[in-house]
Amino acid sequence: MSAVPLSLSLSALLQRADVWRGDALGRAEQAGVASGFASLDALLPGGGWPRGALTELLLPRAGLGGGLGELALLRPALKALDADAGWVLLVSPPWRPLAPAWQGFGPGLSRLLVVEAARDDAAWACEQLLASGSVAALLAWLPDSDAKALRRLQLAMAGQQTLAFVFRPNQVVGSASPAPLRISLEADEAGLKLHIVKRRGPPLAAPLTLQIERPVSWARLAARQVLASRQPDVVMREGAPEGRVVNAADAARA
Amino acid sequence: MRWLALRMFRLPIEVFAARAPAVAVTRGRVQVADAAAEALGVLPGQKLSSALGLAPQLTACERDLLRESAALARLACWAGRFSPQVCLAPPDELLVDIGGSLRLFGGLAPLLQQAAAGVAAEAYSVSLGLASTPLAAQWFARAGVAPERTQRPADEQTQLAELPVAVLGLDERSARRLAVLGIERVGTLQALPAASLARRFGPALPMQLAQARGDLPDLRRCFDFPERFSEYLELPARVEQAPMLLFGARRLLQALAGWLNARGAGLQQCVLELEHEDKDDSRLVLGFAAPTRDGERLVRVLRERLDRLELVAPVVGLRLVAERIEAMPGESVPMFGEAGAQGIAPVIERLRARLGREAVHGIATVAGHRPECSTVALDWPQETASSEAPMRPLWLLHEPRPLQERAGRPHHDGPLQLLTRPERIESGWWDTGEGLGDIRRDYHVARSVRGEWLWIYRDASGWWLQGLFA
Repeated sequence: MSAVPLSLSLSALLQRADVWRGDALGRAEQAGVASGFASLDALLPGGGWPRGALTELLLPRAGLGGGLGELALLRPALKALDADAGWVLLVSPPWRPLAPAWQGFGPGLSRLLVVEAARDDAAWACEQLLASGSVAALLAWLPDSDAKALRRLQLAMAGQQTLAFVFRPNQVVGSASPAPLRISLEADEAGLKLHIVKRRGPPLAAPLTLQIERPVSWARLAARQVLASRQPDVVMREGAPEGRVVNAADAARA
Repeated sequence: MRWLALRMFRLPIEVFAARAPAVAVTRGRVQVADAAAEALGVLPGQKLSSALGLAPQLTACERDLLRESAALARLACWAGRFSPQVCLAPPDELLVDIGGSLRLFGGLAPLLQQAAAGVAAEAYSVSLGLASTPLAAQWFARAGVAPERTQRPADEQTQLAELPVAVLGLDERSARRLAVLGIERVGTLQALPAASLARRFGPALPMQLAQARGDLPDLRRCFDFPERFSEYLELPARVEQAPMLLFGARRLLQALAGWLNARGAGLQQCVLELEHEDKDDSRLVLGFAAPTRDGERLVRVLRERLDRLELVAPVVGLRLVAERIEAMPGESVPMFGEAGAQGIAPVIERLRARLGREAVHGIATVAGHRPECSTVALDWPQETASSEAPMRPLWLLHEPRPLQERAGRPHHDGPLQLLTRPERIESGWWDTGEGLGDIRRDYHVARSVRGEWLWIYRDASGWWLQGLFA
């Protein structure tokens, strides 16, 4: 092909489905599943979580490595799944699922399967399950898998309607990944902070903060923060009438 | 029975895929003109010389009946996706019995839309006709009566009577005699006594009328789907870039998909042979992980291959050969919402064979207040009565983890912020010594300095971390 002028091969290259120009949002082959957060949908090519492609969610490894609300983020999309769409699979979850809580998560317990597998087996199990074509959503914790394993997953699900989310530690953010969408999650006082590390389109400078569903509302959390900062330490001054409460600064002045 | 007639009314010229405007000619006379030529005033029956006078840039192709019948057979293969009952009605019509397929396609409208879109994707002009007899369907297609208008049997008879007699395709002499008698509509013919019609126009005419109404049986020979699929397509021009082959190959793949559907089979491998002018053919083998007959999937795999292919020489023709086909029963719509169990069951078996039986399981709730005892693993997920559960975390740690206490507050890499009032869970006196035993715990939702949402409790021995609100 050396005789072919460069412009010709470039135009041929741009016709490929897996090549997109950097200045525009890529057009997803199929529309995504609405995430339930309009501000997030606006940033995702396809207008939602991509179908038939991996989405990588990166969690901080420090601490427990979870519990930020990473599943609450997916909850609206999974809740909207059709009961006949297929199975929801948890592959090598790091903790024990608590059935009463999962009851209201996604299409329900009758469509939920848990696969416990270690390291290499987990990626293999994901690939097998995705290839079956009856998976509506896959949630997999694959901290040790490499780009090659993820590529195999990406191929196994190509052209299907499956939603697939892979949880990995934040440390791998710098390494290559075949997932077309990568989001790094971070806890914040005002909500869950999403850094969209990679998407089919121009990179995003600013993170997005979403007020996901929590056991305590974000507004109440913020109110408590204010309260806590205003009252560093509450002391009881002896002799004050009826045990009056004063704050530490007043006590020191007295 | 519902018959759908597909009439490719420009088939003689469209098989050539020639540059528009174009006409198909026999013995110097225009037979069929394409849309562009028609717009310029070229009509069937004109001399080629007059047609060229109207449209000097006209492409003229000598009509090729062999090519037409090959195209019709390929379309018949494609139509196998709608029903295995497909009949050829040469030169340019196909009949499909869609009576049994309406439900599968979700009703008449989606099926018609798919049929029209499918033929259009093959770049043929089509008109559709729908009726309860094959002949009437053909007539409606010829007259351009939209299928929606003949959906109800009562409408069908009214529309049938309204048709012009030209749809019968009578010979020239009979047509002229009908015109002389002032008979223009099929309804007028139907009203005449059959015996006198037979005497004047031959017995075929009253028979046709009776067959169209369904009074006489109209037996058609079903299209025999070939035993082995091997279809050739000549490309209209030399193709030098591999992705450009997709358009032509798509026709062949759609025909293959229809053929597989009619045979109730799927394939794991097929071969696309690329014919070059002065070199040996190249072979492109398309492989699939599991047997398939999904036309779109075939096209997708081909597109992947073509994107990466560099042609050794320009391509002038394509041949698609299905070598190994496998029986592949259709998927049934589940009656009681057990969708997908068949699809995933073999995979689960394979996973269990490698990971152990307990590694793959469903979960269910058990009545019980103690969190550790409220979940049970099931061999296969079941529908459980959903109850309004209080706020609970999705995850439980395998074992509660002890937390340090400093200045009366629980710590986990820093002080924890308690966000809720205590929720007392106290129960289990009955299995003391065997199971978890009697517990008395005060649960809180807490947030760590890292922003993790935790479920912690305090009992007589101190603070414990038990769950995560993920």
